[in-house]
Amino acid sequence: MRVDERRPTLPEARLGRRRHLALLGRSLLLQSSWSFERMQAVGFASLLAGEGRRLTKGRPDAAAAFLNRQLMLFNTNPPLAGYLAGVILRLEEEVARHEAERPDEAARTLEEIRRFRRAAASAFAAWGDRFFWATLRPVATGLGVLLVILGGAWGAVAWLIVYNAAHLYYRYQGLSDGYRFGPAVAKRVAESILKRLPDGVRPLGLLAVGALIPVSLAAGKAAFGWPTAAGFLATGLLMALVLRRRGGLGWAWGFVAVLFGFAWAVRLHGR
Amino acid sequence: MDGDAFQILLLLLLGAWAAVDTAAWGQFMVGQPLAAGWLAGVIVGEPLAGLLMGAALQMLWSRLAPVGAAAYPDVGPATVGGVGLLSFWPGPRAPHDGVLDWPVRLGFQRVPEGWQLETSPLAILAGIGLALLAGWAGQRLVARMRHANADLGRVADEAARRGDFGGVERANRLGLLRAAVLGTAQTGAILAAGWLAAIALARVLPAAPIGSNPGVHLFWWIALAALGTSLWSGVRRDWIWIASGLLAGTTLVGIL
Repeated sequence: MRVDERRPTLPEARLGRRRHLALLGRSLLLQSSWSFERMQAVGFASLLAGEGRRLTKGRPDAAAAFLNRQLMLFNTNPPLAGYLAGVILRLEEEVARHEAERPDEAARTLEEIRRFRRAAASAFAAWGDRFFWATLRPVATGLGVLLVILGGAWGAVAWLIVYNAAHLYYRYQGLSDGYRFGPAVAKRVAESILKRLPDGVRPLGLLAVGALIPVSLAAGKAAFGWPTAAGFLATGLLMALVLRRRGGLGWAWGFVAVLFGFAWAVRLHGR
Repeated sequence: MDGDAFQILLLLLLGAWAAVDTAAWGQFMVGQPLAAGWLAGVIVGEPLAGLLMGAALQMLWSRLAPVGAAAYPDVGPATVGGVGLLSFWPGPRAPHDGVLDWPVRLGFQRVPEGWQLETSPLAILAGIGLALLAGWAGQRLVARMRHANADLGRVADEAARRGDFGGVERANRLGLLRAAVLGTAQTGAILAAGWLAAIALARVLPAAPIGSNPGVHLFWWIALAALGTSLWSGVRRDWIWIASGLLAGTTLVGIL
């Protein structure tokens, strides 16, 4: 995304711990009222409502204007929303500071908020969705499922820890970095490890999928013998080809497997 | 606990949590099948069966994500309801003794060889089938709720005109409440369907012995294929990683 180079970079600033934690708690509710019409807008306005109260205290018109700005269409990746909230909070503080004495500066900052919000929301959504949903979740799934076979519930615990370690780090750090660096944070994130992480982490998932093949094969062999286990493997490979070439979710095929299981039981054990 | 009121209450609470966790609050992945299946399994006293069902559903649904306006099966309540079906299935339960048995009660143990659990494999298959159907139906319900949430935007607009921060916050919290109520209702409906399905299927299907069913393994392999294709990008390096995994998995099988 393009970053406004004309504006002098804002001096670094820090959120206090209490404000940071309050914003973090509110950020968990970002998608509570998600709608096709406004997407996360009401959640985003609610996220900044506590800070908005402080910035517009005793000025009802400013409060209404603040809320109307936050209620514009908004959608981004939830774990990375903190970056945007931090930046917009920082710029809203600039607006509140200049509104009375330097209206031109306040108007320029308002325009910057509008442009940043529109451009950065989609850029952060793309980065976050690619990392959290398209990479980290399937990778954590591969590792977690392998551990389920080897250690039962440890797999589910590990899965939760692997995903949430990254999730909570970015939720927390995004707020402080966004506030600290202002709009320049988009450039920092664009050049950060976050963009390279998907390619770096994905092989771990493939490694886990590779390891799951002999582990699942051994379970099939122990239950039904080699010929049937080899049939399972062939089905898996065939499904991989079908899903890869023709897309689809596999859930209909999964349902066929369920029906096959019932039919097998009826045939073997009668009714 | 065999389908008693306390167990059902816990499943309803878990279903509500799983539903809101999917998008409305937190996204800590508790609403994803692997975690929801495990927790539901612990509630119904079949943690390993819950884990295996959750793991298979997690792999199968790994190709989809609740991103933006994308259609996404409502996996949380569906998994809780699917695993909940186990508690209604007639037949013996895995025995657990005393509080010292907690690692077993929570499922901190290896899955037995050949995945031969002390749970009816037909109940597992029925639970998986129910979860697949419930996820598909739940997707439509969530889409309806998200259309209905447009009124919360209008409530928030009204509050904004008055400069009422509390009004905007209340509108947002109302959305969370809606998601929780919908999740609870969905879980309740899936459990009711599971109860009926368990009664009907247990009559129609044979009293198959506890052990393995090829349907469970077949479903697992289809799910594994779905996970593999979601990670596969087609570059040559992918083969190296898969081959390394094969080697590591074969070594693991040899050791264990």
